[in-house]
Amino acid sequence: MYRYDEFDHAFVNERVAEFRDQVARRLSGELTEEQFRPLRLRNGLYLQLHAYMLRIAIPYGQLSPRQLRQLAMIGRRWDRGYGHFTTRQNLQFNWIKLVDVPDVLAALAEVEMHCIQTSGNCVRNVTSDPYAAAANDELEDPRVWCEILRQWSTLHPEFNWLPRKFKIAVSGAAEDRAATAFHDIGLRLVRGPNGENGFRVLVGGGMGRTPYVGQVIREFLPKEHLLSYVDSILRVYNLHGRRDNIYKARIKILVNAMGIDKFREEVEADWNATNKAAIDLPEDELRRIASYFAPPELPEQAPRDEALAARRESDPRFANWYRNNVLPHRVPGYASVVVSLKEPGRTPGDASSDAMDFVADLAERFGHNEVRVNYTQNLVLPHAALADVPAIYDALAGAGLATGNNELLGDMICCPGLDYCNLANARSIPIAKEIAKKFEDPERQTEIGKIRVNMSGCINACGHHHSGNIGILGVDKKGTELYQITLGGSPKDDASVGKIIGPGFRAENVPEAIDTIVDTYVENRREGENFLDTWRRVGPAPFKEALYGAR
Amino acid sequence: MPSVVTANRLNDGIVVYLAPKGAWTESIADAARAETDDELKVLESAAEIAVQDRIVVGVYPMPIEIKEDGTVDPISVRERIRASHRTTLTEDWYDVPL
Amino acid sequence: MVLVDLGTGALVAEPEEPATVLEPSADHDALATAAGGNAGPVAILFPTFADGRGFSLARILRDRLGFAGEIRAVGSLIPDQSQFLLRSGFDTAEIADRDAAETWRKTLSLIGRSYQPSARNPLPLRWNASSEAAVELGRALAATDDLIERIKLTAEHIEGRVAFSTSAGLEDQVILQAIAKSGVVKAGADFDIFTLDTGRLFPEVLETIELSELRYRIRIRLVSPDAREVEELVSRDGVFGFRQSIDNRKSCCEIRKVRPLNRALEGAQGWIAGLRREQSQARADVPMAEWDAERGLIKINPLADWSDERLNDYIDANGVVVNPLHAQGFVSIGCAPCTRAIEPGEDPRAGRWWWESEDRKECGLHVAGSETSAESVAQGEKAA
Repeated sequence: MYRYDEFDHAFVNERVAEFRDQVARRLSGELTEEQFRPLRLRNGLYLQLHAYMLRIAIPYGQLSPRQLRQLAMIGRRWDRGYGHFTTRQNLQFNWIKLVDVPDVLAALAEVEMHCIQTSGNCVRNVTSDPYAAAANDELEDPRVWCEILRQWSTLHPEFNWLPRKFKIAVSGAAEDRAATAFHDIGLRLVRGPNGENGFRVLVGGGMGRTPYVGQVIREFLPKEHLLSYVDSILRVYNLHGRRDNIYKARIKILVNAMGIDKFREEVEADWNATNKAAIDLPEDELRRIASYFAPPELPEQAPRDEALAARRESDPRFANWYRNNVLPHRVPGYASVVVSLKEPGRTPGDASSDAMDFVADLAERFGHNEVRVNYTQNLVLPHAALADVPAIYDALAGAGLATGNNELLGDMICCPGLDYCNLANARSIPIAKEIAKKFEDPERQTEIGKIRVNMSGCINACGHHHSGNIGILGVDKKGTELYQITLGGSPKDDASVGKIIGPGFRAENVPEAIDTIVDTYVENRREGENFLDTWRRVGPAPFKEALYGAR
Repeated sequence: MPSVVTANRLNDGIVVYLAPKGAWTESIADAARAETDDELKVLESAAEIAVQDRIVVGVYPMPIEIKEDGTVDPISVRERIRASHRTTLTEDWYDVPL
Repeated sequence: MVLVDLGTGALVAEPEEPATVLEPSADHDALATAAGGNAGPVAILFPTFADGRGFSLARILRDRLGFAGEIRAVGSLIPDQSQFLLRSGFDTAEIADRDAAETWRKTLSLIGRSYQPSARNPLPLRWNASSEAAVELGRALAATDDLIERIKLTAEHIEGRVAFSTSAGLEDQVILQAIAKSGVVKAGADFDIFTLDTGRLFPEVLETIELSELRYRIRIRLVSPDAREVEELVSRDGVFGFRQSIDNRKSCCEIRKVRPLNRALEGAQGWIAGLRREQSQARADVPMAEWDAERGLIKINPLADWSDERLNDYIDANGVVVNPLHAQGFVSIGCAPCTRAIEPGEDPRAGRWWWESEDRKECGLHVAGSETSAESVAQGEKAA
């Protein structure tokens, strides 16, 4: 993985010193809260409902055991012993004291981590496929490009005061596991006309109040021009994005107001006027960064492990977990293992400091020292030998981390909601827990099959409800929490925005409504169909009928 | 409607309420209550001084309900969650009526 | 009006009124008009500090429209934006009051490195990597005492073009011979050796250059100033206008030397010069190699640690071609009208612009301060 050199170390330490100074100026009164807010936000520090929240960047969702242990330490020493993995592959601590933040940042810097630009109207943490360099459908490792974008966007002089936040995702595989179509810029590595790799560039995707699926601005961009092209997109946005209305300030609004063709024209004109050589990365710097991402040495092993096979025969819980949480690897005899943070009754995405230490140990013993964070709020051991999988399972099961529901209904994405968040209108965690209880039976989940259920506690859609096959949105209706349900969203290659199925539900009725929707799907589906197939074939009528017919 | 004034403490962000004599308390039960607009104005100007003194940030008044036994309850769900200072790791947390 | 110089963090003593004030919504035509105006400061308005359009405008002015004059940020800004402003191409920022100046100055020095190219750092990502390369080269050069070895090290460390601007002074003549002897040019190193032909050179300088070309079998390019600029200068200030004021003298140096030099250095990765620490007070700290952020190259002074005595001994021992003027008491030789011979014991640069006071006698080719020297980078790291 990427290792900081002297430059990165010095840079991050300078940034810590800068924030230490800013905190001191705030505490001494030299800065007002209004002046301090954008500065603390640029270091990931929010003032939430109960306390300050610190959002730590996990670039492209990659962690070393040493980093994970340091996060665990920070949770114990400066917080309440747990953190929350987010849909942007970040980690949030919920109870950090302002006066401690400089020390926390210094502790992060020790392990090559930071909170730079995890908030504010700037380029945020670049996200990616959690199975990068492990998946068997990968064209090229996207992390290299994420790292290049991370460096380029860090304290960019021109693009740190954009109209609104800016999110970039990169995917290098056949299957989009980074929801690129729902980002301000989505980058897909694709094979070009002459057999060389480049990017298909999507722009203007996003969720929130006005959800849009990203549109193609360029079918094929030669890789070497990534930075200059992104630079031009950002310049057009910086100059023309709306600044009069925070709800209309994202690039998706600009793209849709201008129309993709006009927007493309502006970007290409700027790009043609750009001295590309001054911005694009020189060959040897690209090689230098790429060299950090050489995958671990994985000696090929037998593709079938007898002990593993026997365990699958004899232990149905293991077999269930294996079927869902163990994914194919590009090297025969290996797999990627999903460490579930979705045990029924727990807050989705939360991990205690103990759990973090535990996973760090496992990554050292079995995982070639790598841990990834999935935007679906689970952890992943990307490189595990098949022969070690039973031992990994036993260890995880002992720690409550072996819930075999990856990509199933219990694998809900859920934002912190009104239990923590200042922006939320309604709670989401307790609803998610109640739904998880309702569908606790693994056999039922298996019967339902893959399905994506996402929930957000407000219109800002941190829980990606728009892209859920079933999406749940909490709203505040005259002081009561009410939950709107959308159906038919997808974050993948067939990206689409879910449609509201009808009037909202009170909190206590949501699990029942989900149950009804799922039953309707199961009744209507044909052999081999997933939820989207059925939904697209039968349309909303049977679901409406089932949900509201009796009214 | 009776009100109290709430904010977050600058140093650690914890939810606090303005108490009598300009002190700040984490417990809504100890908050200074305003029954009239004039009383609320007095509380708000005291809170404004605390903002300038960098004790608290994000001050706002918040309507409450005073129950028969004299205890205080916030009106909105949001404020009930704030007043409870709860984390989701508290075992019984969603059994609390909110 | 209180104005901070973003390059130094100091207050600007007598700020000029801006020639143009650009709204953040300025379109390309407005920018082009501002850039083409007659060189007064261009101010860019920030209605709120969170409105970042001005950063893009400055960058377009600098990078696209080649505007070289002062760009000033006015309106609502906070000190924590100082480095963003500087790196986007702003020179100055208007601030609320004098009390804030100290904070502005401080924030300018808080983060000393950046990942991306900007108006100040024309190199791609991590330009400080180059700065560190300068430190490294400086160390390597200091480790050897042999001049030819130093030339070879320079050729090895710098991948692209290495420029050597010679004035045919003693130091430059020594370096020129060393380059010839080292064989690096024959071995394929891209060395560009040139003289700034200001139009006012002593004939002896040109003689020396020709003799050197013959003796060392090496071609020395003559770089001329822009003829139109020279004509305008002379018609404005007169033939010897540079004697009338320091400003006049500086614009003469600017047009005849600094701009041609900058043109010649464009695209070069290294720049060899003959600066020595013993030459003057101002050059006492000259490093062996330093990163010139403004020009985006490493500047090499292979003779930085040489004493006068060593220089003279070397010349005698190696039969270096020297300018005959030296024998007449000329030490530091510039343009003919601005150089006189000095008496023994006078400061070596006392013969340059002798009518001006000591501390201002730089023509602008080797101005320190805006550059990030190897030493200052190293110190910055320690401080952090």
